[in-house]
Amino acid sequence: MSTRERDDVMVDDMPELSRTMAWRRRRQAASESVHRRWAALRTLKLAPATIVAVVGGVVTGIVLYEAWLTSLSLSIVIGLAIWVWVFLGVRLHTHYETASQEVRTWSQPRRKWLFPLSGLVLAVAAGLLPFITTWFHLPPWVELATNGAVLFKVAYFALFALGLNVVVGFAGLLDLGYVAFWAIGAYTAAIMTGAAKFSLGLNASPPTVTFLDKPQWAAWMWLIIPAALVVAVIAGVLLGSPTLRLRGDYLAIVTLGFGEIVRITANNLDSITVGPRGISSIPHPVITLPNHTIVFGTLTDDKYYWLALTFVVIWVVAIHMLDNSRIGRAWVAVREDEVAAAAMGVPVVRMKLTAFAIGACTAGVGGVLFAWEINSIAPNQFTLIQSILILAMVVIGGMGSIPGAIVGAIIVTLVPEVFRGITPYRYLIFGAALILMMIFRPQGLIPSRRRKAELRKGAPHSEGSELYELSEE
Amino acid sequence: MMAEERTEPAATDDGSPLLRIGGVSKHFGGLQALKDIDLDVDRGTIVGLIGPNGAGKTTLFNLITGIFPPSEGAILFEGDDILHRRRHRRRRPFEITRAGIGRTFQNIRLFAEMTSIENVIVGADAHHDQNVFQAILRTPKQRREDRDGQDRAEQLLEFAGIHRYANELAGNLSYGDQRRVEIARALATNPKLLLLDEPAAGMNPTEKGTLTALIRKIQDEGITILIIEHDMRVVMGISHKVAVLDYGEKIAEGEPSVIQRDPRVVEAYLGRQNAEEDGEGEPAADDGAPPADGPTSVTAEPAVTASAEEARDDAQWRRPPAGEVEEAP
Repeated sequence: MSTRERDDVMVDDMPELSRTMAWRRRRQAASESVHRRWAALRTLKLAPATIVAVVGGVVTGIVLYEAWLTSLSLSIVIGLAIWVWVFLGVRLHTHYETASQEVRTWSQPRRKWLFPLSGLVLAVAAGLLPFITTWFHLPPWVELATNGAVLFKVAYFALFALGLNVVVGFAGLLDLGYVAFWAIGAYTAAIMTGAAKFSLGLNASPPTVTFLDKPQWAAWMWLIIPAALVVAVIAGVLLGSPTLRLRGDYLAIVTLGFGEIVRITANNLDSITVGPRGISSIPHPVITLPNHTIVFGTLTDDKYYWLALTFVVIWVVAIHMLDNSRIGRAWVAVREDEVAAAAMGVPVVRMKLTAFAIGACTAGVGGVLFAWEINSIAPNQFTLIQSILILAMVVIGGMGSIPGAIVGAIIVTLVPEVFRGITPYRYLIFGAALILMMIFRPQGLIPSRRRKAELRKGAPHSEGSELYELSEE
Repeated sequence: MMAEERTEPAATDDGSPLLRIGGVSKHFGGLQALKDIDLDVDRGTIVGLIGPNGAGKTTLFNLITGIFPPSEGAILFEGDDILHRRRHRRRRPFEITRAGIGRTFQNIRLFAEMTSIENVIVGADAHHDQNVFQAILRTPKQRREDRDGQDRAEQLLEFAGIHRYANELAGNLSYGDQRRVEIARALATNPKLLLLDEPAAGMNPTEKGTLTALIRKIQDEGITILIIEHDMRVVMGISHKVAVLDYGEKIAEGEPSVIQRDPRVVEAYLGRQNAEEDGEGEPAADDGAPPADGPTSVTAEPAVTASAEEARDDAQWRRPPAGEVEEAP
């Protein structure tokens, strides 16, 4: 409907074809019609809606306070938020096209500073999360969700989801062995810090080391992060170059196998990985400043959370840049139709390898942080279920969507944590949530612009792309 | 007589053909798809490639663009063997595209989830080589390339007359518009040779007229065109030379007017008996070649076109089963 409207505008004021592009003019036309649209919005009865929302919000707040929450003011805020959200939701739904158009018209010219600014605000807000339980009086489940260890878990899973999103969401390569790169990062850290050697000596009979030989943190160990990044990229390319010519299910099976190979290798390569007993005593990072030292992992994991959050922010920016570049376009082109992409000069295999390598190095970095924080790693931490969980995050958030990957990581990590009180059922609830999700919102919570279009139409496309075997070496 | 109405071939830098297909054969297992095809495509010309369905036309395109290698023979582009960059190392399709051969597909293969302009930018990216780090850090080179891609895509959409759909998802466009986006995308790769695979399929007469004009405009830019087309009016109207394939063999090659009278061609399309009976058929009235097509619009010679007019549909240019041919008036 809005398409037709916009086209009419276009036809009217397009006397001749100049170098100024039509879509720029369309944007102008849209901003001219904003007044018209505001008028349309104003006809909605605002006053009664506000009264209902306020009264309803206060009542809901009191009910919440009585039933569950411990802070009256917070209850009322939440109650109000729920009602405003309901009204706004109804409003947005009935006037979806108008409202989204308005938001877009307003934000488009301001995107240069608006997007980075909102990103910064979000990042700072996320960074302050560990403090909210000390600032406010909050129910126990919020404390469960915002303690350092859980937040750190959310953060590194967000990193993994971001990385896998590049592989699965952008490039369309189904990777079921993503945990392998996580393991590779973690084992790189464990081996480079000397923890592997120490654990090996400790396990020998008689032990060849004592606890005095426990590996200590040294400043150079920060370089483990870039080292693990490189190792993971190499592993990604090694796996990718022979297998990326496979498509769909076949690639999924090979990557699944790769994930298992890495785990089983770690399990059996006793002399390096210390086998099933795993590597313990991986040192925590220490930052030595002139007048005091910051030790990670003491009392809380807040510092780890901030470290991981920093990486998440860096990765979001980097992946966003990639998405809006030649490489991001090439990924989508390859995902859509390999043959056409190749015919348009896209080096298909190289682009797939790039996606794979970027996904791999993300997991490598996350793996290092994971190993530092958790202190001891063992092969049974890197099972298939972890790959599936990360994939679930990507799918729930919305494939090919950066905010989606983060939201997916938050939900998949927090839901089981929050329901820890009812441990036997928490995975049941999680599973039910997943099924409901797939029924009611298959495109994910925050779908990418492209996927949204695809799933709304439900149109099959580029069928027959399997007909040709690409003649790439 | 029709040759004068046609745009003259653009000036060439030397006499050698831009594309030279020499003795190319292709078989898939026991199926001989192409048998010993020779074809020269001169610079600046439009060459039509026609033939009944299954004649091997698209296979020839796939060989030229390196989707699969020929079983025998060689394909020279600007005097180079396009399939081999070094010994024992086949060129990949994207390298062939970058060397200057752009193409469209018979069954439209746009990137449906991308907007039209993004589709075209992908084509323009064929000549961009920013790497991951440049893309992440937004280096001047990256910005320059992005601006270049954007500008180029805008120009080409305008050139193809579909700029008003720049921000529509390609999958939502009408058939004819999708074809034009595809042509713009192929042009964005900056080709010397453009391969068009049935560009007029599924278009109405008005759209066909616009398409013909667009193809001429492309030729005016100095781009050589090899076109597969079932619509005789389109292909005969714009081609300087037409080659006819049947059952994987080239059965005729020459000027459109000659081809239309060639008995073997008529036979390939209509069957022997029909070809004899159909000699006296009158060409039906031109049913809507639009003004854009103008004076160059060609009502083709009787033998071939008469039955096309009866059919009023390109689909009729499929090889007819023997029984039906007998009954044709």
